[in-house]
Amino acid sequence: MFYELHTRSAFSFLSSGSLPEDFALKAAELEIPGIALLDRDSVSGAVRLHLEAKEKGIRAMIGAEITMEDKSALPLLPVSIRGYRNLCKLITTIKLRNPKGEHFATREDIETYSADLLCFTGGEDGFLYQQIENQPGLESLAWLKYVFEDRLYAELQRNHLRNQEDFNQVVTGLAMKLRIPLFASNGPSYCTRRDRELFDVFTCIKNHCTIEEAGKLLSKNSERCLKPEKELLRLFHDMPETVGRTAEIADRIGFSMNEIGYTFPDYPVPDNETMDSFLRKKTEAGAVWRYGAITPIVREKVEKELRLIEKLKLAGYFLLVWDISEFCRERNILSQGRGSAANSVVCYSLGVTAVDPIEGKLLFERFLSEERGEYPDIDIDLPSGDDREKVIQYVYEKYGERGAAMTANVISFKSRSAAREVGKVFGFQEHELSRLSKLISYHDATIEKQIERFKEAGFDPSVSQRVRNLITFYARIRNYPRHLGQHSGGMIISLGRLDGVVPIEPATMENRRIIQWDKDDCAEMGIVKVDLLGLGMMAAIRDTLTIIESSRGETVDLAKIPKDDPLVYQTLRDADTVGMFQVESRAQMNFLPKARPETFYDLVVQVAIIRPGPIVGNMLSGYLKRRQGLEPVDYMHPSLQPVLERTLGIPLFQEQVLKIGMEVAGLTGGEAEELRRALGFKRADKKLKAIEEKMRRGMTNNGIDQETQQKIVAAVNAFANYGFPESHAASFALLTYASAYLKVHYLDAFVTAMLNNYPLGFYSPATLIKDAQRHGTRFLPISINESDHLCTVEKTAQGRAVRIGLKYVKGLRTEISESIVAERLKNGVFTSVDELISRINDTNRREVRNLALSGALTIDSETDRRNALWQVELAVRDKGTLFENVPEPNPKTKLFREMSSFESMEKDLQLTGITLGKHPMEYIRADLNKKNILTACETLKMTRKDVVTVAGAVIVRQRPETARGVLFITLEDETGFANIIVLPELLEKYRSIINENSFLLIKGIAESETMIKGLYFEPLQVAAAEIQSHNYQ
Amino acid sequence: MSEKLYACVISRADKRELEELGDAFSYRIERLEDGVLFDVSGLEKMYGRAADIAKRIREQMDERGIAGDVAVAANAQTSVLLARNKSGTNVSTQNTLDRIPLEGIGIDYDTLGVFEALGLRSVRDLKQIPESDLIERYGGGFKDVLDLIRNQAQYVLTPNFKENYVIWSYQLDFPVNDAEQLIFIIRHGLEKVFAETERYGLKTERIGMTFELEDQTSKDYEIKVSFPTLDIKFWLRVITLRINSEAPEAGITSIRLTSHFIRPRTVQKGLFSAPKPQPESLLLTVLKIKKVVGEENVGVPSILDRRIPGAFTLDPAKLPRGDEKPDGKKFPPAIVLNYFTPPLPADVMVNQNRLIYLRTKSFQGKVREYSGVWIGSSQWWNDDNWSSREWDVELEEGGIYRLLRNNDGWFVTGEYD
Repeated sequence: MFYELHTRSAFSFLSSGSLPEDFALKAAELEIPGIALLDRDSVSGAVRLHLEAKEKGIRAMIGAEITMEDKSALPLLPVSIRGYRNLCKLITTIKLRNPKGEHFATREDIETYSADLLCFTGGEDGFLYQQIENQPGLESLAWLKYVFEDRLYAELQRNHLRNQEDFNQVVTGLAMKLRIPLFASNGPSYCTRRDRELFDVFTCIKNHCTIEEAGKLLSKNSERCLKPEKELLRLFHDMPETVGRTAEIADRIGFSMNEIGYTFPDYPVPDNETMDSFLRKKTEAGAVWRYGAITPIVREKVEKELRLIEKLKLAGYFLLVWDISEFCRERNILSQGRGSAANSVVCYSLGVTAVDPIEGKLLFERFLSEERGEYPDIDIDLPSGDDREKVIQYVYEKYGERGAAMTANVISFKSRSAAREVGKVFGFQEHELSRLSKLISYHDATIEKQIERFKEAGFDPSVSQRVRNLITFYARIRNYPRHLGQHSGGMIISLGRLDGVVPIEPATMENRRIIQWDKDDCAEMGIVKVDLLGLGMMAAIRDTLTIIESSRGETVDLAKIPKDDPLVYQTLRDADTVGMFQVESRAQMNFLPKARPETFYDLVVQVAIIRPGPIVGNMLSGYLKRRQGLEPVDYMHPSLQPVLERTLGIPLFQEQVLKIGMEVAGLTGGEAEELRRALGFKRADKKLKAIEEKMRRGMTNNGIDQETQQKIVAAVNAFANYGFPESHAASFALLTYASAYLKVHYLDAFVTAMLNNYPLGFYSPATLIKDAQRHGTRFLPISINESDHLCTVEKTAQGRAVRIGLKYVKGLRTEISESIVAERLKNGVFTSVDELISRINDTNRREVRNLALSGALTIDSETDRRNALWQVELAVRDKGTLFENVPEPNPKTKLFREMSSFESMEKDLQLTGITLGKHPMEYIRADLNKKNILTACETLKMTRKDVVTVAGAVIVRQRPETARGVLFITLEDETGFANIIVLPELLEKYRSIINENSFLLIKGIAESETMIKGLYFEPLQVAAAEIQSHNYQ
Repeated sequence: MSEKLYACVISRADKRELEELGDAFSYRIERLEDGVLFDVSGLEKMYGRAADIAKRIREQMDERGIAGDVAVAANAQTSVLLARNKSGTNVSTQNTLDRIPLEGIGIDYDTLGVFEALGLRSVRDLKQIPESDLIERYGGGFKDVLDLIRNQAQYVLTPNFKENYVIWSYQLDFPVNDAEQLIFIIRHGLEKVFAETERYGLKTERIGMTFELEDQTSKDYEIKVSFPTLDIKFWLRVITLRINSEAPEAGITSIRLTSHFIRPRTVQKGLFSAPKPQPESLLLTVLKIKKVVGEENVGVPSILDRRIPGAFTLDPAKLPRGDEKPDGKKFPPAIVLNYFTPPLPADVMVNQNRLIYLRTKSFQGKVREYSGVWIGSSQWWNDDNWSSREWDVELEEGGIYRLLRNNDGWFVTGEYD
């Protein structure tokens, strides 16, 4: 029997042409009873192989090739869990010791972690091959023998290569001398001969060369594929025992991934307490804090949850999350649990979540159920930036360098990156690649559509082999892993050493470490992840509260803000929502005046309904009609009225599906959760079928007729595409309400905080400022004598105003900006440009020029931007050492005409991206009026079928997946926004005009009072500056 | 003495045409990257004022089909500045100069950005700024810019049009059919052009030779050797070999020789250096071999960095210089394979997947032993894709051969030495 013991998958990153699961599939097909995956310094593909192998009934053995000092590979394969732990620790040690990408193992490392590991001598890039190349190799093999004793095997590979046989003969000789058993392998780097092509393409990508330039880097033949026993016996007909030995080796391996003993860490509790009792104590105290007193309903819910937590031994996990929340509270870091955790009264009582699940009627089973058999999912939103980093570093510190790490994110080839990289391989030039990548569209999911688009652009596959190759490999390479990145916030913590479970390696970001598995792998292996997610809006809300306090002396407690503020709801109904969390997109703005939210729950629905799922599922119009009374509310069955009442009979939330299952079919909470998961899983047909049958049986038992059953099943099935957790929507809606409340009542503070936390949200700082100005907020320009690094709210004789911070001067380094402020606070204001330069060390010419041109150096009435710049030119000249300390005369003679307001606006946009003066469109308004071109505001008074022309700065270009190729444009002018839709055929025609111009003139027909169907597009010359636009799919 | 006057033509036309244009007006010509500058001082007497000279140049350009911009000025650099920045035919006046945008006067990009921000866009704007202020900020080097815009640039025209070749031609009294009969005339021509070449202290490595033929056609030869030399005997032999292999097809009526010259080679031989064949004789030998076996079958071998069968090539264009060194490989191959070109077609007898008997036109025999199959394939991404299966075969009668099986059948590609 032959086991393939040296397989390398795409998780060796650009060094293999096949995925681990493909190897498992192919092995099963070739009747190979087991394969060993030995990726280079990695076990990233282990879980995938393990799962697929399990399904196909073959053995998956997990090891790794270790990079040695001479860059050769030493294959190691664990025989036990101890060996696996050693392998993980060895990889962690070498990865964490060296800068990213420069790791290697020394002989000492190998000796330290060699226990319970089998060692193979490897193939052409193996350790022994290198040693034999440079010296006889006996000494190195003897060392391996000394370290691994009877766990060392000499590997022979026969890939029909002439030079390989020389090496095999040397290895055989040395092995005989040292009595090392030999085994046969084909050393597969890909599954099938055809995959060799992909392997060659990856080789080119790895070596940054075209396929024509790659020369001898490419494979010599296609023989390094997975081969069955019969072929191996033929290849090793002269030494068949080497093939049989693979089974002996496989028999020695008594370890499988099922044994990975991940244990969540215990939480340290006071003496005389268990984790369960401690959690109960904390929960009860928290419940009193939250509810005032523990009412019977609260008691019942808390008891139910605690019992289950105890049964599932999850108290440690809850305490850890509580600990993180406590850390945030102690340091005034806003934190809020989201996701299904918001369904838990325990989480609410512990202060982890902010939504009351009893008031919100949220379903606990969505969060935790006995049947689910896995850890619950608790995500914590934190203000992005420093605060989040503090929390992450706290966790690292608490659980140690090898006890906690972030989850990996497997970065794979996506449409555009795949086309670009493959294009380079086949020799496409940079300008062609730019064109090609623009042709790749998320909307043209099928390869046929892509081919059509390529053809139209002159890349015809029927004419050019190069284009054919591009299209073929672009399609083949997609979703192959490229490298490991960092997950946005998932942290893994383990009792003892996490590096005994999975290797840890440094992330690109400083002070961050990642494990080699992604979140799906972790979920499959039952490893708990705590998501610490950064949310820009939380940082903005935090800063708004601080600014309100400092500028008005008022303390706003988010927990105590009125929950039904009429002005907030009126503003939402008016879709006046620029800057508000989750409701500022144009789709939301379009929906808000129709949905007319009046309560907090309306906001919960609002957050959940403008999502791809409900849009595709055509839920929007149904919901709207029912809300507007144009369609009767239908609950399908009277028993479902309590479940669907709040969403007018339309199942919108995951919790509702659970409840439907429980109410009408009598499913248990766990079964209902199983139903939800099956609906969300693409390949769960069998599972879904089974659970559907169960549902139908339950419904029949409950006396529900066939027609109603069919209706309910159809509604549940339709739900599969768009389920959104109600608890998650509720958590987000809290932030939506908070941001709306702060914007409506404290606009200056809110916009200041938004500007300071940019990038966040949907709109650029320029749009945020113009919106705030339209609402009456005053802004003050950047000044070295007035501005801080960040924007601030100032009290002036005319009232409060927002002072733009120095951070908005492009090219000004933060440290310089901060030292300007510190120096000014310490030694007083700057009286001249020269003084600025002498007091602030290390400023460079560009920084001071930009300060002058952005108006930050207009120190007195004599010094306008141009004369400030002229002074800068004198102050920053190369003086030579003799004169460097001689003060300059302060030339006050004005040589230059002051910039006009238009010129200042252009410079503002160029150097700060914002302008406080007139909107650029205002400068050409008179001309536009003469031509009957409407303002954005006037477009709101249109009636359907009006022919209109409008012009403005393009601030949004959006082509959502759900819009079937339609592009949405938002134009901004001094009066507000105009909305335009562009149909696909017109988009094709005007693509470059639309995409490449900051200002557009658009002629079209009014589709509704707020929407114009664009028919003709023309570039407009307004200002020599680019307008920052939000372009996305 | 009349004042100096310069003309500049900025054009994408052929350099030689531009030089010939300059040549029509001046003996002092400087080739520029984007045109030509020439001294037209004194032409006022022939053509009139500067504007008339400019007009005259424009007429000449039109006649010669040269498109471009012309400027005439009393300062060489001003004329260049004007021609580069003002389209059409221009003569330097204060007004034309003032309107030139600042982008065209050689100010660095950074400073240009500052001037743009200050609202300075043309030469006129810049002239409003006190010189002292500008020098104070941008240093003494900025004086050059100021001199330029004030028509005071100290630019000296440097004639550089002279080509690196010498031409000699000879008209025959009557057509001559046998080119070899003209060797003595070619020799005379070579003496002339080499004498001229030697005056520059240079040597030639490329000779162009054109025969005008009686059928109104011409025959061109471009003869290049791998080292510069003025050895007439050597060149004559090279030329003779070339004429013999490519004889003209009609009677020759005139000969033109062009000697392209470069710096001579420096050869310093060490006291103990091994004697090598002179490059001249090596080259002649190669040329003789080429004549016999064909141009494409002789060259310098080089190993290709490609995955193709027999990945080496002969570069016929590359000529031996006599100073080649072996590549840096530490270990020479232990066994040598002599390639058969072309490979020998073979008949192979196979029994139960084993090679039994091999027969070619030159040899045959029973297979004693063999190794393989060695498989190779590549170029899958284009029409040159290939795959091969090879064996190393030892015959009972002696000899070890490399046997190939591809789509065309069986071949013996070489013999191990």
